Amino acid sequence: MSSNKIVLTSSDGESFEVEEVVARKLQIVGHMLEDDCVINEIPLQNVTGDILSMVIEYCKTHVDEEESEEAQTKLKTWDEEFMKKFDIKTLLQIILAANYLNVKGLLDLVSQTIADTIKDYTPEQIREVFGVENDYTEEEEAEVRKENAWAFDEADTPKP
Amino acid sequence: MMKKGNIVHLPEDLVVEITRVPAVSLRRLRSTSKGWNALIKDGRFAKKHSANAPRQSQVIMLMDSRVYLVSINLHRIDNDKAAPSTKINNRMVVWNPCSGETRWIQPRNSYEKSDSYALGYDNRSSSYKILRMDRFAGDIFQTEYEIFDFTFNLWRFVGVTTHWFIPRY
Repeated sequence: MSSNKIVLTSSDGESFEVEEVVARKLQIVGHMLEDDCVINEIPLQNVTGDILSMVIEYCKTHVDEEESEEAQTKLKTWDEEFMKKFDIKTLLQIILAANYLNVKGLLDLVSQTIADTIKDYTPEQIREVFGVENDYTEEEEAEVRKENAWAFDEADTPKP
Repeated sequence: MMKKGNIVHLPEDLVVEITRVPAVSLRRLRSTSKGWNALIKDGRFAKKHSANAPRQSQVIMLMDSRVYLVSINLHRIDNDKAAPSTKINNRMVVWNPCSGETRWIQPRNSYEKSDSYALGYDNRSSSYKILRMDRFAGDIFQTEYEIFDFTFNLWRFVGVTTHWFIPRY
């Protein structure tokens, strides 16, 4: 295993020195290293230091993914605990970062976590969190809600 | 990162990623905005969603001319366009409970009381199809089969069997 160090710098100027194997978990870095193998400092324009540090924490933990069932279970538990630390706003920052830095495992994990979080949200809560503008007219919204009525009053439906 | 105040705006790709929610929640998300509604109705989305979303299914039952929605849990089913069908006064309507869309299906000739139907998805052509089985007694019992293709909006006659048929349940 290479012990070569790479310095990753966030958009707000924070620097993180990590092992090359960890940095390569960020595919964006992996591609840069392939293009030119002498880089040892990489500026990452689209991610702030606080978010980058969390991405790095994930990558360090996942750096050698063992196949054994025990290791997989342990990793899964770690993932769950890791995700519990963040509120929805931070999760959204992390998903953007995971997408930009191209960390497949983290993107998948955080997508699922967000999905689990928003599945019981009302449309109003979704709009607030995602900054989605309600562009329906009152009539149109009533119409869509009517079409989807059973999804709104699920709690009132007798369970089989 | 795209930021406006404290709000993060996700690109469409990522919205698709995070909406791996059960179909019921998905329906609620449709009333968030026109943009999200259009995205959820998109075929590309449906494919992604059925690959990632929790397995959950609604079954439509028709009893005494009333439509009932039944929830069951299956380990594996394509739940995005589970389009159940029902017959009203010898007309047929197919309803997609997820998108809320309905489609009236015109018969090749006519629908019969004795018909039975099956709905399926053809992976090769990525389209839904209805199999209609019309069993009737002439000199001998025979069953006629035809298949409706949602992509072409057409019934196609498949053939007749006399020695066997698919029993109804």
